Amino acid sequence: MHQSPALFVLVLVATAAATWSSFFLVAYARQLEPVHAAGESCIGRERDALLIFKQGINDTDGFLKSWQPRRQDCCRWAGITCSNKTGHVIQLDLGGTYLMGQISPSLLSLEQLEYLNLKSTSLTGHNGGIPKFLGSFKNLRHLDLSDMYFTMAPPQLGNLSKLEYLDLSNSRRMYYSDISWLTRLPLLLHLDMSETNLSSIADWPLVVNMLPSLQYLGLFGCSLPSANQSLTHLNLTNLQHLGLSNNNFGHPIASAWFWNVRSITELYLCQTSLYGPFPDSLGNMTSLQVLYFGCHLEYVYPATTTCNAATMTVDMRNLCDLEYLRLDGSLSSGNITKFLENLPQCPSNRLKYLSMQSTNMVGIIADGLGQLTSLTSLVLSYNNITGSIPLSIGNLSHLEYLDFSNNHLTSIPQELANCTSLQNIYLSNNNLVGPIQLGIGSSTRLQSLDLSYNSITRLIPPGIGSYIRLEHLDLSYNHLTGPIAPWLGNFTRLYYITLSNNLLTGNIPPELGNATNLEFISLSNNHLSGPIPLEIASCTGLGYLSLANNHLTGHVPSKIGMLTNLVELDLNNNNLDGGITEEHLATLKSLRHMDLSNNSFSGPLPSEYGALGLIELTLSFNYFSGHIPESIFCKLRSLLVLDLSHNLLEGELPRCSQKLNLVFLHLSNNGFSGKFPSALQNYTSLSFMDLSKNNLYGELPLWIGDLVYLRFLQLSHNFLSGDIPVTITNLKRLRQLSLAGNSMSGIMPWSLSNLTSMTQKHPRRPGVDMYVWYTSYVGKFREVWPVVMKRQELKYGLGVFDVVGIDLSLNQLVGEIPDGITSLNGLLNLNLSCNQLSGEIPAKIGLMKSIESLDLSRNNLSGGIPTSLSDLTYLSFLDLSYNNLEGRIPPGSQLDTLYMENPSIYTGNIGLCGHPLERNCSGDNTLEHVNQHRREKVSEPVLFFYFGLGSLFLVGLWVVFCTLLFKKAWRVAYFRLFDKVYDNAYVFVVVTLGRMKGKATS
Amino acid sequence: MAPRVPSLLVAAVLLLGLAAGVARASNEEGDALYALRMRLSDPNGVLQSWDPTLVNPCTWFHVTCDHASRVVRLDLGNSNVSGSIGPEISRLVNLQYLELYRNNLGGEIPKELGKLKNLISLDLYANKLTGRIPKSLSKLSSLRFMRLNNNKLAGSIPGELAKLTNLKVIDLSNNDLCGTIPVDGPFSTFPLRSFENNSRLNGPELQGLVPYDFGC
Repeated sequence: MHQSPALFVLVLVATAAATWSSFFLVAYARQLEPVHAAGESCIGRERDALLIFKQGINDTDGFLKSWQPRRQDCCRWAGITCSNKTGHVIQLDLGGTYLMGQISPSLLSLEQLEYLNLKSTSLTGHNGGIPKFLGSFKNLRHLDLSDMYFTMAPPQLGNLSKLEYLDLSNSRRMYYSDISWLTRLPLLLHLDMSETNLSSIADWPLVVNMLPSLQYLGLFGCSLPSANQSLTHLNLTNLQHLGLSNNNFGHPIASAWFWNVRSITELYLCQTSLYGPFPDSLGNMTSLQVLYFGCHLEYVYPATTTCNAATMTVDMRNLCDLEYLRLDGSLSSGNITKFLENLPQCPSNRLKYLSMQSTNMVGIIADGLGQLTSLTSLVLSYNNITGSIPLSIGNLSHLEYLDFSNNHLTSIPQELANCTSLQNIYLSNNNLVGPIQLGIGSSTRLQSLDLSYNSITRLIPPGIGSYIRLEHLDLSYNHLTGPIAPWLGNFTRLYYITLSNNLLTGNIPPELGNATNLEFISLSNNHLSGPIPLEIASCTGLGYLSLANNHLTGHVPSKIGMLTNLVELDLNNNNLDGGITEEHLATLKSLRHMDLSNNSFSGPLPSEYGALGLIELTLSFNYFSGHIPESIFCKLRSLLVLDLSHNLLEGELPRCSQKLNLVFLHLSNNGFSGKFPSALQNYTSLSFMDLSKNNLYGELPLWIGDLVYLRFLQLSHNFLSGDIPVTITNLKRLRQLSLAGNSMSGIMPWSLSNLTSMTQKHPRRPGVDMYVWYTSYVGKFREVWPVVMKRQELKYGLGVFDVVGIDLSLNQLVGEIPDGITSLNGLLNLNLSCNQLSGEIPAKIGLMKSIESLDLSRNNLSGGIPTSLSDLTYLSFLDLSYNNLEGRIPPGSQLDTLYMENPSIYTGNIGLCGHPLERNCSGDNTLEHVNQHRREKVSEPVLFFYFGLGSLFLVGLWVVFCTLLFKKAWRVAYFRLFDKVYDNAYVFVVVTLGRMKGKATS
Repeated sequence: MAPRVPSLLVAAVLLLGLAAGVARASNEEGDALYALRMRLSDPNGVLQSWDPTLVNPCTWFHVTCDHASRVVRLDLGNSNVSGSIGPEISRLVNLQYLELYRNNLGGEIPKELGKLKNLISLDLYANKLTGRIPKSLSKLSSLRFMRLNNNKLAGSIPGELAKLTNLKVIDLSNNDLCGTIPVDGPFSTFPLRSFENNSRLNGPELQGLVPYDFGC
């Protein structure tokens, strides 16, 4: 869009050229006229040949209608021109006629043919190639076979020795293995082979160097291998236009062969991967008018992508004819101050167009800029230019287009006002601070002004009569304070205004309604107060109105219904009240998005909608009451998003007979009652459904399993009862299931492992496609989807596509936790707390690698805590309290931290012991073995040894003891022996002691 | 009546400031985490949910906030991430649990970690961290777990760590630490296996003697 002036100029040039050439053609045709008027008919042989040619052609558009045998004078047939002297056909021009079929060799009869144009037709040769016989037209000067479907070109074309113009471009299937035949065309002035495959022609410059007359050489997008061949003798002294863009050369730019061709006026080198410094010889190419080295950044994302990576320090001061210089995205570094100094400095400076987006420029813009007085378009966006815009910019009186966005500029000089031709100013994303004078001088031509993403604090009003043509004004993301200037309403041509994300206060000025051409108004994210002015209804062309995130009060004026072109209405997050009625909506036939959420609207929901194409209806967080009108469900067939959550709605959902396309249905936090709404059976596209916190009762129907697109299903906090239908596991896309806070009974479905979207096997980001779909069809995905996890309610936006969880807490479920649940290794949240589940925690719970929040508290679970629990490294919330768990708590640093965070995660389990609890597990506790299988296995042989030793000892002891007990003689002998040993020992001790005493005294 | 107006004003200003502070805090933490993400190579895509455009990081995977939306836990153990921990982690001022164990993190432990006054657990074990244990960690007065084992940490164990009176568990084993093991404060209770396999670590420092850090 920023480059549109460039395109415009190009188109203008092209149009002028076309007009000029057609003028000559017409003049030429008129010269021929008298001969035909004399009744001279064309040569029969040539007529027959043309008729044969026609037979092979499918002419659906009837271009060859005039080619009839009964119309003898073939010179008057469409596309034919004859010589006024000889009567021979000399021109066959079928260009742009979309004829299909084969080119018949019968054309060879047109011996005098000088001009053949088959451009943009679907005519082909015998085998897909250009017919060889075309090489036999000895007099042919002009041959245009561009934009056709040929696959190869025969060397016979080299026989066309009189050829001056040859266009073989835009045949993408054309592959050349040899182009040496071109050297036999010495008169060739114009050669275009763009968008064909020349990848195997390594010596192409040597071939074209043998065409001394050549003026125009177009080789855009030819997959040319390189351009660094050295030419010993340069014959190309007439070459003016050299187009080599879109060839991946990938060598230093200075080594290219063409820098000494001084005659070049236009040089196209966009996206060639040439790098390094430009050669100094560029400074001698004094004929140069156009140098395009940049790429079309609007087609490249992000805008900062570099296409080539050269540097430009060449002295170009003598290039007095230079008009267009485009280097977008193609310089690896540079200093803007020095660069500008090197630009042409001639008495009559012709440089009109300078575009240097994303060229890694640093430095400041020096005063020398003011010498480029012919500039009409100046683009320096996406650089690192600092300082302020020089005062000399005021000299650029022809400047129409100025884009300095995405730099670090600090101020705009008053002198900019002298640029009286300026139509577009883009200064977004700079460091502009303080007040800015709008309408300085007499900027009467200004159409677009973009100052977004700066730090502008205030707008100084413009002089009378300036800015009368202003159409587009973007001041978003600044620091504007105070009220919105009422004089903005004076810009009667204004169609786009955004002042969003500022600090504006006060009322919305009614004067804005004077700008009756307004189509886009965004005042969101400010501190505006007061009512929505009635006058806004005068902007009947308005398509987009966003006043979101302000403090607006009062009713929405019913006159808003006059905005019959309104497509999007966003009043989210204000203090608006009153009702929304038929008066507001019945006439808004174009409306596609309406967001009135987070206000204080009350009364019944509007039941009349003029906009049958409504896509999004968001009325959440208000005080709407009563029933949902049937029209919302049954008439708004395009509705994709319906958010009525957090209101005071009640009753049952209306039933419609037809299928609906609704994808997002958000009805939580209301008073809806009745059984689970059977109306929903028709909503087979539903993907996100939240009916939580209502008064629904009864059983969950089996057909819930038919809503196969469901990804997000929350029915928590209702009065639903009965079994969880097994069909729920048919929901292969389901990633979030919450039935918490109901009265569900029975067992958990055993086939939970069928919920394959809850596994990691699922593509990593299944939400991406859905997100892309949403943003393109609906718009910004807001953070409105609540998920309870880690005992917190988290609001998800885009992230909701990735959140995987099951919450069945606060029900009356019995039985065991199905082992299959551990295969759901994508689960982030599993909450089964407050049920009557029994049995053990699945031993393989460690497989649920993604789990962050695990709550199994308040059940009747028994057995041990599986050791694999400590494998869950992402676990950041755990509660196992109030069960009948027993045995040792598994060790692990992650579990340590969880216990530290909340020491009650194990309480209410009398049998649990070991670290980190204070209750030690008794050493040989029978309970201990539950979790110690591994340790037992390892120590089994050791234990066995000790056990054996102990029992042998006991047996031995008993043998001795029993013998003594039952055999009197042995007993007597034993005690005698004992007495004897005792006596001996006693005597020995006394004697020894006596001896020692004796020694000591002596 | 007159003095009441200014006091109301002051209150209002204070409230506004507080609100702004809270808002900034949560963004600040998101920015800090996002800066961490930018440093890390994440072949398993565990940080994919870290969307910097969200109001706060509380819905990001592996991040846990408290009820005031302040980041208190970061659980990225065993995530196959590599890269380094940057100083910006110190902006997570409310962080209590930093679990980055069993990854391929390299580089040094940033000294700025010492600013995380609320940190209770610092689990960086089983990575490829190099450099020294920053002295600044002695400012983590709430710290209970410090597990830096199985890294390539060098240098001595800062004696200042003895100031960490709440420290319950320390594991510095399997590093390349040298010098002596402090004996004061909580170090009097730590078992020697918390320090084993540091070939140049010379055992507990002797009471009353200058700690000897020879060859360190």
